[in-house]
Amino acid sequence: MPKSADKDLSMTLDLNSFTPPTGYKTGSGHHGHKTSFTSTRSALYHGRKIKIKTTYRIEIDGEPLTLHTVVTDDGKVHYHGLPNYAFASALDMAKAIIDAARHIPSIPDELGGHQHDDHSDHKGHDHGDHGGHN
Amino acid sequence: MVGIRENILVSPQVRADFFDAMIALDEADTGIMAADLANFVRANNLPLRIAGRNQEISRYDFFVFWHVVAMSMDLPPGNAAHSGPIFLPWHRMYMIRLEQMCQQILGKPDFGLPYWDWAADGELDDRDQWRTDLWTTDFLGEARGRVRTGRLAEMRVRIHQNPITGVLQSLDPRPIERFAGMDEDAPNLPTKAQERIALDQTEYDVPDWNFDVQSHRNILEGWIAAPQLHNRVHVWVGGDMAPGTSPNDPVFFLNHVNVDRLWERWMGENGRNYAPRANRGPAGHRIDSSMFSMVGDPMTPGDVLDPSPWYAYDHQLVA
Repeated sequence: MPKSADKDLSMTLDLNSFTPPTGYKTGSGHHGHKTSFTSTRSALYHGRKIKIKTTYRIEIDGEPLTLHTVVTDDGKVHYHGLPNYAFASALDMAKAIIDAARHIPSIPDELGGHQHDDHSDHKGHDHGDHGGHN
Repeated sequence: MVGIRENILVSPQVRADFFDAMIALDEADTGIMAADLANFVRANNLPLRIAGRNQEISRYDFFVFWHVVAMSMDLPPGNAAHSGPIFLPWHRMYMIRLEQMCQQILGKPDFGLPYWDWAADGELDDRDQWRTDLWTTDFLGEARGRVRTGRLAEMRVRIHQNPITGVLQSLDPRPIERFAGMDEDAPNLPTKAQERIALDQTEYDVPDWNFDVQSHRNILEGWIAAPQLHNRVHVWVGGDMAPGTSPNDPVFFLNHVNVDRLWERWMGENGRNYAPRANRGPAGHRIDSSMFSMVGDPMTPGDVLDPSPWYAYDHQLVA
């Protein structure tokens, strides 16, 4: 393999600039500060308006999950920490999260990532008026 | 010269080149430290936290980081890379950039990322799906447990997203992990019949653009009767393919190139149609929306609808 080419990569790994995608509101996303999540599913049926609000607060060993949890129209539960899954129930989801985290080693934090910042928002998060994320 | 994307099980040369490129990109020689990623997150007020070792990362790790950052950015109805119309064009842009890096590092401008035709393996008995040639020393190594044999045993996972806290952890480097076929929600791979359902859709995407709609994008992403197709492959492989850091396993790219190949087949049958168009649908998912990039200039879905400036699939060369 021509290792010399390794040093000639024209595309740099760029940490000096940040161009957010169209439509992104700076700071929005899963902050890790929310402890409850509300999904609103709505539909029209025979001229009648159906609205179902579902709020999840899920704890594992007393610690609340802080990543987005939403319900799809078919009633499955989706969780941002396992982004390709759709669970039949929140209980199944919590079990899968425990399984996925089982082998993560405890490591010293040299990056200050476990410190909470000062603008934490512990209120719930509403995913708005459709079956998906908002 | 454009890259040619071929089936990894068919072309020994593309397989060898793919492994060479993955391993070369995984060398921790960028001069970028995990602390630089943490500073980038803080400086731009991104909704992520990073903890763990302050270690030098590789170009490959940088692509893992890019994927996680995109996934963390809310862009309703999904995020900046998933669960909405942007899913297919964002991953096309992402893999164009990786493919270009592979071409440069290999010195082969016609290199194309290979694909894994997972629906072909989905026709096998469940018990045989994780025992195919793909999961042997000559190909990807172990389907279950840590990857200790084959070329990919040389790769190391340094960045991993904790599924409980969402914290991005800079780990002591370890081998890739898989648990293929062990998740009861996805004991088998997608089938050709399921793939056909995605290809038979007449619309790329439709309102409300979320993971409840019947559209080519949403069915191919795998949200109808989930997990199916793309999502199911992530769940079926499991291990490092499960969290937001799923590009840690190069199987991620074999999966997504195959997804991209199916999108390309769909466009071959339905035209290069994308929705939502300009000034319609959710901002960030429109044909002229700037997509989130950390390598190379940002592109729009419209920029990547025709991939012929960059690559072609083997089925397109036959004609």
